[in-house]
Amino acid sequence: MPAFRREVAKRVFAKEYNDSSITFKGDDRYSPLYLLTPTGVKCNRIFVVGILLEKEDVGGEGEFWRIRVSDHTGAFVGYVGRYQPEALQSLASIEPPQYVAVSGKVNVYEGENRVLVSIRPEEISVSDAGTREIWTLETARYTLDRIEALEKLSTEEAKLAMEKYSPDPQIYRDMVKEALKSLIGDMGPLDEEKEEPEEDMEEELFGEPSQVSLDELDEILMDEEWDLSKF
Amino acid sequence: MIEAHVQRIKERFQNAGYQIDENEIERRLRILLEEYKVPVDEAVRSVTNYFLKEFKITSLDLQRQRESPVINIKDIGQPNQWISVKGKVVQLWESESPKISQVGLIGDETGTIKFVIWSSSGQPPVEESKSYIFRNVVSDSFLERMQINVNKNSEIEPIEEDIEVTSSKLDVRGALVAIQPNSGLILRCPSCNRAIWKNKCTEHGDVEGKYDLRVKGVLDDGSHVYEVLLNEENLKSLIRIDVSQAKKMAEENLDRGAVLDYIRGKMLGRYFNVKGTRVGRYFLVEEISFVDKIDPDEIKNLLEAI
Repeated sequence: MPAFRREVAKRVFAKEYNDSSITFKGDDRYSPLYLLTPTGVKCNRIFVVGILLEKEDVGGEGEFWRIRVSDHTGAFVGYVGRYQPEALQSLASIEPPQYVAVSGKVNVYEGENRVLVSIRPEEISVSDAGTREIWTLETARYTLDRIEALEKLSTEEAKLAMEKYSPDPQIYRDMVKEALKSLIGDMGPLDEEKEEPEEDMEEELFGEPSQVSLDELDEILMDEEWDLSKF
Repeated sequence: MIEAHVQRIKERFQNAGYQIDENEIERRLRILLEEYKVPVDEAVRSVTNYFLKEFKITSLDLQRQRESPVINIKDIGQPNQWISVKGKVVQLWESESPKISQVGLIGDETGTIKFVIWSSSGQPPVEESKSYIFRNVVSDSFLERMQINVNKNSEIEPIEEDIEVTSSKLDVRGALVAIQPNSGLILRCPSCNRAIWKNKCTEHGDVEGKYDLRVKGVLDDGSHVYEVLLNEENLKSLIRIDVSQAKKMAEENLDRGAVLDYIRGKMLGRYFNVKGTRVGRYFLVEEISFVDKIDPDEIKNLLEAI
């Protein structure tokens, strides 16, 4: 058996993450599950710094929390249950809205006609505005690098992403631009062009497509909670 | 079908320098497969084990090529590989067991690794600051660190060449995405310095443990992970806590876990600039600081470049 190697936590914006649907496993049987995103990053684990907007105990027996963590492009959905004891414990003392840092495993439900992605947080900690700025800038850089690779088809992941998603790179470039602009908006004292993030956020949160399927996702994930073999 | 398995077994032994008669392999396989209807995998394993016993060797010996390849120290990442290492003995440590003749650190241009020369290897002693080829040694992981073992199949040959050793300096910026539970205020064995639990050392039995402060964590920059080890010095400069304060905190809360909670609260999920040395899979931290706030110009520049 190969020596255990920890998976790198990839940096992805929520919009791109939620646009992802292609999963695959490596060659050997111990290989974990990876989610391929439209700009071509293979992720098994991600790290996010954003705002915890909601936490809701959706579990029947025992605690099973659904959380939403937003960045400047959308929101990640996460599920925390008893198999994530560290995250569960931290979550108990964090009330939304709050800046949080989350590292977690990619979680994918593949239904008959759609794929639902979420995160299974391993660690959640209270964060701050400065850390979120660093994360946003870092994620922007990584995403721009991937978009460039996508256009040049210069990496294996880029080729695969192009083949599976045929993404329009401009969409993701615009996404990065928006994220960086809101970052300046957050930082600057008073900016004429400052948008109203509240409203945008609402739209991202309650609009298509994830809200439609959330209840269903809760059910599925609760049932599947014990099944860690996929990871 | 049997023929393929016969050849596979024969080759495995041949590569390790042992000859077996094909007919003998086939005869044994056939008995198991045809007479006893044993599943193929089991039959192959059983026959292989039979010959291992015959030659008085282990399956590890089979993995050994007759002359193991010389590989760079930084590429030694998996246990139980037969390899050769060309490097300079950087340090010799005190051997703690009569079974071990020498133990120390060997380095090459890519890094350093601990070596253990077992007494049973019968090799002449090595000296500090001299270069050698360690042939046919086995990689191993002990207490989560990689090392190489010099055993009776190994050979140490002095060389004239003076190998330049790099200590693999690292300078990384990343987020601390995990802190291991065995961090915080810990007890160490006064003899071997290993972290112990309830004043019991696995090596030295009941001991009076001495307190220490450390963090074992994972620094992740989005492309690589680094297993960082922070000591009391690092923590003092970073979050202003030392062993005596940590002890006080533990006493006040009647729980050593309070120290870990405090550290987690300050450090988990934050970004750090870290400088240090890679030793095996660990990254020993020399300097650590929080990443400063981002300069807005940096964002503007990036925006303009899009």
